[in-house]
Amino acid sequence: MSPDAGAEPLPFGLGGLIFIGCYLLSLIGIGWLGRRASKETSLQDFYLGGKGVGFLVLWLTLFATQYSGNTIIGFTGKSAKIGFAWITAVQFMIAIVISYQLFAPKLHQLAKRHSFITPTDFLNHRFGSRAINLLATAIMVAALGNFFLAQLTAMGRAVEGLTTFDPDLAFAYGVVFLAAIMLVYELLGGFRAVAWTDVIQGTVLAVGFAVLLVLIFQQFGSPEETTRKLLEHSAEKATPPKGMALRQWINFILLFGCAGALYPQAIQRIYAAKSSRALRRGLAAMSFMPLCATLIAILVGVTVAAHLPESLEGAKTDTALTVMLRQVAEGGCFGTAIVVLILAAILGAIMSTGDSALLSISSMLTKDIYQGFVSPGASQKRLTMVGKLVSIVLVFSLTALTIYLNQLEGEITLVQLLGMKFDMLIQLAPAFMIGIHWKGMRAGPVFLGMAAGLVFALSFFWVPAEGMGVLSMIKSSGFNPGLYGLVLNLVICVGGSALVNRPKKVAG
Amino acid sequence: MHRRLLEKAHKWQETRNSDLELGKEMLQKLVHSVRELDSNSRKDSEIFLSENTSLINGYRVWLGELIARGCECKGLNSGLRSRLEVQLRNLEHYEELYKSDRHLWSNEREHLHKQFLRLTQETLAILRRVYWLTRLTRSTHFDRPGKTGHDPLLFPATMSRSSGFFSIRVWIVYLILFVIGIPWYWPSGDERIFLGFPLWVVVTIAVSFVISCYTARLFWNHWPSLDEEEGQE
Repeated sequence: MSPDAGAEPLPFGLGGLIFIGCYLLSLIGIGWLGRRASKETSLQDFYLGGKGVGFLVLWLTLFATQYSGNTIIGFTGKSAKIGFAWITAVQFMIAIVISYQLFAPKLHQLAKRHSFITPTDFLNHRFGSRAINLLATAIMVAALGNFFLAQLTAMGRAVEGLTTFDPDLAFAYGVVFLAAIMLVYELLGGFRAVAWTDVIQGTVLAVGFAVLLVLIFQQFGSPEETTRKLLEHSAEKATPPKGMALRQWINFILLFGCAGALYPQAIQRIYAAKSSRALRRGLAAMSFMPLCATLIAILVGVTVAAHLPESLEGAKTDTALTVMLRQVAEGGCFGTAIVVLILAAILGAIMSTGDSALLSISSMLTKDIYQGFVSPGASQKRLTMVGKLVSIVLVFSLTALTIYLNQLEGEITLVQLLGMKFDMLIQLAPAFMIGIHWKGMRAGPVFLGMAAGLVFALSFFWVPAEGMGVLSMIKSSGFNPGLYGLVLNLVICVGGSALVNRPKKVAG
Repeated sequence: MHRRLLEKAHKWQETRNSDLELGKEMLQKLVHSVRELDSNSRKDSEIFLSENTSLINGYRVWLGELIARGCECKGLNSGLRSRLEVQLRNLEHYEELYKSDRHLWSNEREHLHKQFLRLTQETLAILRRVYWLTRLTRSTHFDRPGKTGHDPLLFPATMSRSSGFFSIRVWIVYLILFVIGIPWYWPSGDERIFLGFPLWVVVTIAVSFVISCYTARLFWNHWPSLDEEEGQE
């Protein structure tokens, strides 16, 4: 499911553009403030903001990072397509927070004590295996690369919807312009800039969701009216899911719940929490965000499906929000102002997720690959400089790739493979969630399990969904191959570690 | 003296040629120390009621040191400290009971020992619940931190309040909530409406809210207090 702000232009006058422009410029201003607050030239300061952030900033940065453009655009589109069955999204977003219980408290303590910067730092501390470091970093960089690519695409789509230019041109300009702003404030202030801009973006996002909630009731009437209309013409969108839909419901909770918590940028926010009290409060507050944000996105999608079904016919599902916003914009100046605010929230959601992903990839390539394998003795100043260079190269190359992919009819295979990011990320779960508690877990079996799970999951990319073979049946079972890979991974790493640890008989 | 003898014994064992002279020397010293003990120590019957036996005195010194270290590390709050002091008072009380006839019989001594062991175990159980014990035991119970995975913080002896996170009860509650929250048991085509939404949607959202509350409560109340900063905040 790729974020897509809508294929049709949505002009809203000069005032709206000035508002959006000021909002974007304020982000650069915050980046500059972040630079002034910087205390030293070190990786710790650049990637984690020195001593870390307190409850409010942590909560809003977690919110803005986890709730991307996908939440606000993709989730409305998906719920417009499948109806209330997408309430599974509320549950899998809660499941992500539940998963943090398994490792966040201990990981935070370890990170503070040993000054971890990247997720691989923990794995290195725990297992001391270069093979695990390399494989885990590769998995996380690949997953985040795809994630960043999706955010860049979403930026282009959002600008496409904002202007009346040629769509391809608007897309390209949009990606370049927004990616440049993101890069500038990130280079200026590093993690501080990202976290502080997340505060603004998170606040605008929260306001946007609140406005959306009011809008759907004001514009389209009571929920009962919506439900009855949906039952009249698309009953399957309002009745309980069965069969495959139900299996996918469980699949999403298991897959996203487990893998979503292992996003490197989320792990780095665990490191960046100023104290465990701040982290504890931040995560407790995050437990309720699915009900405050995801649920509203679903209600918007369902409302559009009930009241404007003809607008969705033949269009991309991700256009559901745009369809509703066009309806709202027709309501005069007030309607236009609301639309501008929501679009600012969408841009904020996309950019806050994109900048976190960029910072995280840059930190891993610098700390885990450059310092870990190329130049272990490099000074902090040099590492910080390399980190910034990596960010610049990443933004340039991925922006070019995004524009290139937009001009292609279909996605290239490598990008489609990277789309299996959750199937890849979930293979890190045993090393983090079990390895942090079980002393007996050994590096060898962990590496083998991770590699086997990954290969098993990715190999399903080439397995046809329809067929009589066992692999085809697994692929079409409703559960992601990543979950089957995780089972294999668990068997190898837990079973292997138990075998290695078994008491040896002493001769004689 | 006991410690010195042990050290010598270990040294003797490590000597490959089993130095017999060293063995003889040790035996002589042992005999000497036993004689000294017999001649200089008082019998229990001669100890006044106001005095404690060496067992109580040893326990008091040991406990006092632990309390002092605990307070220094800010890991021992006043509640736990008073519980430890109650343990000590209980032990003294038992001793006074047994020595009421100014004599400690062997069976009474045995009872007192059992009581001592029980209280020591309870004391340790209390102490294990606070982080500073991990710090005290770090150098002896764990290997070097880092690559071996034997970091005391990574694998501490215990984690206080962690039971809320990792107890099987927590995960059973989650399992039950998700089993109710996932709409597998609703009849297909159910069109009942409640509060403006399909009934199954209302139930699913309500259960999701309960899951959120339960999760927030766990974060709020059951976060393992391994935090050094906690006291400072």
